[in-house]
Amino acid sequence: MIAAIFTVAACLASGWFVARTLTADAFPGPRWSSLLVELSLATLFGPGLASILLLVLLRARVATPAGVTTAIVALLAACAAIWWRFTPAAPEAAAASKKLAWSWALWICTGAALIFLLLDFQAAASANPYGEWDAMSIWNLRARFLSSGDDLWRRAVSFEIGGRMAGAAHPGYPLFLSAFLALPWINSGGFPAGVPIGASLLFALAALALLGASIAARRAPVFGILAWLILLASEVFASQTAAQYSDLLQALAFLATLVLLEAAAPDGSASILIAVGLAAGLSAWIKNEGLPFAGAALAVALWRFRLRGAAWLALGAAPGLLATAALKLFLAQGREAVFPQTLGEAIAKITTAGRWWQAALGFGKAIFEAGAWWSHPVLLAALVALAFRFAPLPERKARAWLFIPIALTVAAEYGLYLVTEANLDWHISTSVSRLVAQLWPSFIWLFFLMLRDVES
Amino acid sequence: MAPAVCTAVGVLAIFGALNSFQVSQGYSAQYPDAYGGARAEIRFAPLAARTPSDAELGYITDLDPSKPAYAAAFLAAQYALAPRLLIILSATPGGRPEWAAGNFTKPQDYAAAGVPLGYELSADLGKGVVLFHRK
Repeated sequence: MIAAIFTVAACLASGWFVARTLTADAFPGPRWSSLLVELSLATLFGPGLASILLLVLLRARVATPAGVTTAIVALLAACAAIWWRFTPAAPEAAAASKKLAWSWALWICTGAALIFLLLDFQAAASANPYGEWDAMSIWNLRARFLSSGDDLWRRAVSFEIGGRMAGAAHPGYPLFLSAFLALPWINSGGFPAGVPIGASLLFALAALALLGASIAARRAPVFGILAWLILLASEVFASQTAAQYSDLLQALAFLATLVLLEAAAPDGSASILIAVGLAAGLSAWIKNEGLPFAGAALAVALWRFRLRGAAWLALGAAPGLLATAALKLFLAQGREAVFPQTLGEAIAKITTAGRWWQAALGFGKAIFEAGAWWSHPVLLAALVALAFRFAPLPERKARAWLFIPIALTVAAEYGLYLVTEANLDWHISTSVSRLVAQLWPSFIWLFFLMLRDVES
Repeated sequence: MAPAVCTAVGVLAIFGALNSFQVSQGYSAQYPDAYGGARAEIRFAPLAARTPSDAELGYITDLDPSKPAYAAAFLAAQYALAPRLLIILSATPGGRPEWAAGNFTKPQDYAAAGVPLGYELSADLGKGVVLFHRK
């Protein structure tokens, strides 16, 4: 288990070096907020790059404990060298933001709600240490194949996986989570259940931390704490923390991309644009839903930062996008069973009005069930809006471009329901709450972006 | 107004998180090992010990493929036996692996279950888990 912990720690440290280098002066708020942003981004960047590295090791047939340890240490050394060479000098301390006299009460509330989230996680993880259905049938199963040496890793991308059953066989699903889990499993020489359990909590906490800390750093600390409170009250989020799925990791990547895009505006530096590209590229390497998001986010970034940013965005996006392309074009066998086989079939489904209604109802129901009615996140957000008011229309319009990647991702997810080959009731009931969980932190972040400044 | 409203948000959020915890606690108490992963790890451990880790294993069961329990039982068995690959025999008319894993819900004539698929009983490993060998 020590080898597993060392591997994960080295991945996270690598991620921190990258995050610190790329975002050194982008989050000027209190130091605790910029540190939390860096640590959250590290949780995306480090494991993401390490998971791609494993794919290279597997192809080179050197994914042994010695090979993995050497590669992870080399990654850590390379990231540390980049940090040493390129991190700018520490910026002047930001002017202290207005501290509200009553914010201590909100900190206490956040601490209490966080304790309940951890208890929730503990209860669910104890009852189901192997995670929920898809953890066992997809993410952790593929991690077991990837960590088993020789050519057995190919079973993770084989059409035979899941007995070829629709809904269980996903040879083309991206490999971020599975490959990251496989690294400590290779080094520990077994499949300790603590690895996926720990990773599940790690990614959930990173998404939570990034939400509040980025808002605290870029807007106001009180907004950051309120954002944490709204997310902690969201059952749609809490229920996924122990699932051992990729959805909260996807939520982290979506949010990270938006946070970095906002931090890059209006004249993104090379380093922050590399960070935007890296987060967007890794989005595509997590789940299929990340592909339309990555495309939209990169297109929006190109539009905002013009061609001068293209090279930096491409540099950042390359690892995630190339790994995803290699998987889908050269490694994965077979096709997704849920996609229609012909255009005519797709059109016939799209033109069935009932499917539009059914999909809309599914999303509506998932949002309604995102929390108890009396502490529903939408209700809490409405109260916050009542207290602080929305920003004037011109300001909101100026920030509206950040909605585009999320709006296009929602449209893509909605579109998949329209054309799915699977039974629509089954497909919606088994996936829609997870789709909402992916988007939920980003929704909350976008909401706080639309509020009036605390000072005004 | 802001302090009062924000404190209200904080208090409601605590109760929201508490509610999520209570829902999760209730569900966990009612459905421990809801997906059968822990049970499968224990049941299939003897079979895993008798087959090479790179083996492909045919899958023989008494469950009806049209019932939801079929997929759940198959996936739990596959997880427990990985990196061995379970192959649903009816889905692969071309070839039959040398070994097959039997996953049965109740005691029965296990040998008879293997015969139509071309397998003979190699070992009854208990708890409804059976190792078959190709005839």
